[in-house]
Amino acid sequence: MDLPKVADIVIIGAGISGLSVALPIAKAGLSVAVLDKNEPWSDASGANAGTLSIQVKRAEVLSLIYESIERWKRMPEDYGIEVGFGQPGGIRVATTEAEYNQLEKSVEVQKNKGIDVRMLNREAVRQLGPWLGPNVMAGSLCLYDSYSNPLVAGNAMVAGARKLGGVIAGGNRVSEIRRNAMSDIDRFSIKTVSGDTIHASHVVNAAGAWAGEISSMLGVKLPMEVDVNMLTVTEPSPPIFNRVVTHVGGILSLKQLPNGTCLIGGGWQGRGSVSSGTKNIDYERFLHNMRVAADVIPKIRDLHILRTWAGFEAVAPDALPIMGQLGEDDHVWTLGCARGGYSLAPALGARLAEMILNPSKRDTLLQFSPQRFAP
Amino acid sequence: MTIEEVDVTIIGAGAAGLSAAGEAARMGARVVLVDDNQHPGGQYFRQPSPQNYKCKSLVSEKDRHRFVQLLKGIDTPLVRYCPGTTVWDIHDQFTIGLADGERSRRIRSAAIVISAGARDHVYPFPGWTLPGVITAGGSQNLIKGMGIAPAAPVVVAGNGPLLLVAAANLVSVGVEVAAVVEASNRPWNIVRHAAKLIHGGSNLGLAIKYLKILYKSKIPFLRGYGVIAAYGSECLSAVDVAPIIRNGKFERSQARRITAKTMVTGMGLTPSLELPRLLGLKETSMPLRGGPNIITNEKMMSSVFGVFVAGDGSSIGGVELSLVEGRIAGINAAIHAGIGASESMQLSLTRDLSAHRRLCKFRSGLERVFMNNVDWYDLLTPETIICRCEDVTWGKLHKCKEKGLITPLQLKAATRIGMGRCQGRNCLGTLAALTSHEGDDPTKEQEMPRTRPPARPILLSELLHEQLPPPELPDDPHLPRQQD
Repeated sequence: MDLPKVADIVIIGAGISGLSVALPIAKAGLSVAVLDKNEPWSDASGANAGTLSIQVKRAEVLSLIYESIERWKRMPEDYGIEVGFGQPGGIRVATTEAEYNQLEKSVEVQKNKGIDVRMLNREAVRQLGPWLGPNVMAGSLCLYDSYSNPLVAGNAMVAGARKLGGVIAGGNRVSEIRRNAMSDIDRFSIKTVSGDTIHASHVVNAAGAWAGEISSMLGVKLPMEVDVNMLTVTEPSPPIFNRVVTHVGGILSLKQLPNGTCLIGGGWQGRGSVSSGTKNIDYERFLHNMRVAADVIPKIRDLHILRTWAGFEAVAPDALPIMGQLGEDDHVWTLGCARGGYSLAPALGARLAEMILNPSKRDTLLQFSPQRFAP
Repeated sequence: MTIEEVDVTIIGAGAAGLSAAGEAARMGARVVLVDDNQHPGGQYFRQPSPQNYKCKSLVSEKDRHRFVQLLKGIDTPLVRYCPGTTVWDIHDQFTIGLADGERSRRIRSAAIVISAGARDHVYPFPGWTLPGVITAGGSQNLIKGMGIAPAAPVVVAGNGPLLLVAAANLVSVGVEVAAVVEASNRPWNIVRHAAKLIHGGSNLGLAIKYLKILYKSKIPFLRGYGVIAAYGSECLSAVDVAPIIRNGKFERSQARRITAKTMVTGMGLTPSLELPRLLGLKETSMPLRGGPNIITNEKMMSSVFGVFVAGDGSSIGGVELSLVEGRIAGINAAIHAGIGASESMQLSLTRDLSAHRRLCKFRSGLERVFMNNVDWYDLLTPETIICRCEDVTWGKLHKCKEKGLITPLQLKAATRIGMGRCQGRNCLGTLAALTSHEGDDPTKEQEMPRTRPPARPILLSELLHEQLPPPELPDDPHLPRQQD
């Protein structure tokens, strides 16, 4: 795909974060180009179970979660795209006494933040989920827990942004970002490895596992760490369970999609590193992941596993979103989020777009500003 | 938890695998021979299961004897033969995940021989998914393995030597063959490449035998023709054949209809690529040898140190070549595992290497005889299904192309092609051909979807049997995880 010579805003990274900024900006009528060194949606966004679970989120991000799930739900109206959204409600299970106590505490915190969530004892949880295994001793229920199918959402968001005039260009690794101090419309020259150059007045770093690298090009240090998330998909099956299922103690996220396949994830770690480019399955952790899943919903034992995969996910040291102005220049921005990035991206993306477009909005959500890592 | 350690793991118990196992054991290596079939022999030495065998046996006296010898070679305490077992993962140097339908376990092996054979190369054309359209390999399985005769009349169509074998075998068991339709039409190439073909040894006798059977039966033999469509409401009732003109296209105005209840399509074989791609073995494209071939050196070692690939699983060459390559790979894999080769083993290796050279000459001669420039993809219509698992049609792919989605990875994400039950085993070859066919730069190597474990679908319950140390869980699941 040919790159434009000029764009109002260049976004680096065509994952969930970059596309969530691109959509509102393109809708506002600005020209936007999203560059990705791989195909769009290649890493954390693609190696993601698509669980939009409120119950597993940290307390610090709960203020944004309703808004974000609402934005997921409204994608068809807002952008005319189908992202495989479903809102079956979610059950978060506990299988030991310690997990039970942890769950109670967490439900209390969520309630105090205004989240509609409630505890279920053994009988109640089984009534809602007769498919749960005998080791499940309690659970909590949130009817707003949802999912968006990551296997369709990526393409949908790319198509949506293109329909609004955005350029989404995979296979374009950024090699250099130069500041042209004298000019306002041509503030940055962004060079790609293949030799193209785009001139832009704003740059958004949404490069996920490569956000640190891109930040360095902009002269800012961003201390990101990288996880390698694993995911597994089963063959399609007649309906077995009808909720998004998560776990207090074991690492698990489990859902059955409308096509009957079950997506099993939760954040078990694969093997690999950004520097070597390898992202492989860890045999034993994969087995643990399957064991936890089969313990919670025994019936999935009878399904064939079709495929596993892994992708890099960038995590800030405090595992909170990173969002806002990057460094001293109010034309350089960043957005990234682990531990709920997929759920929160539509809200974070929309808020960042507002900040970029409207200087009066720039003093919001400062708790997520990358300035917190400034030396 | 202890993991069994062996010297050589051989994957596939066909011609190549059996001879590799025999040779490695003769050297004194501890061998595990894994096969996903219930019986050894692979496709070529396939044995009928006695209870449902109705046709007369097609195995020649010579092959029966050879097969007995191969089985003797693995009848030693050094070889542990695991039938009905699938290799679903290989990682590190080398830990192998095996699943037998009940449970999964791991073994460790110093060397690996992949002798996983080949599958039928399938080209989609209008009507190819109708019940009654089967592959040449499938037809051979029905006759040889199950003693079932396909419904007559049968049209045998495609390209290559396997077509003749399939047709002759159908005739031998008394099935009415309405026509044999071969795309290539270069009989003079037999003369032109006689110097190479002469190296075929026993292959030549076999070829003459098959041709004699077909000649005697007076079956119409259409050379330079191809099937352009298959018809039928619930199952196959007829096919249309048309001559192929110079530019490789079909002359549809001269199409004629042949009544058929079965169509056997034989487009040659293509190596099984799941394990080579799981391991990232280097490939090269050999259009006359089934497409993507695994690159091996004279030891049959692939680009990954310690992984040997032999037989049709590396490059299509038939049974004689498979037997020789299996022996070469078996000996070298044992040497790789640290076992010294005696003088007599060295000698037999030298003999095998010269046999290998001779058979390769024959192969290249045979390839010239069946060479053609047919544009099979010219037959596609918008309704033609490309991916059976996910019902992806040529029209659907074409629509994506118009939206700018052109690479295999983009098309996979957009249409789910290759994401179903077979994980692209049947359609990714077609997708690769169609995208390079369509792209602006056909020489540019395209990135194909990666193979990930499991190499074959396995039951989740199979994974629950392995005893593992308890997992190390992070204290705070939100914080960044510790990497290895």
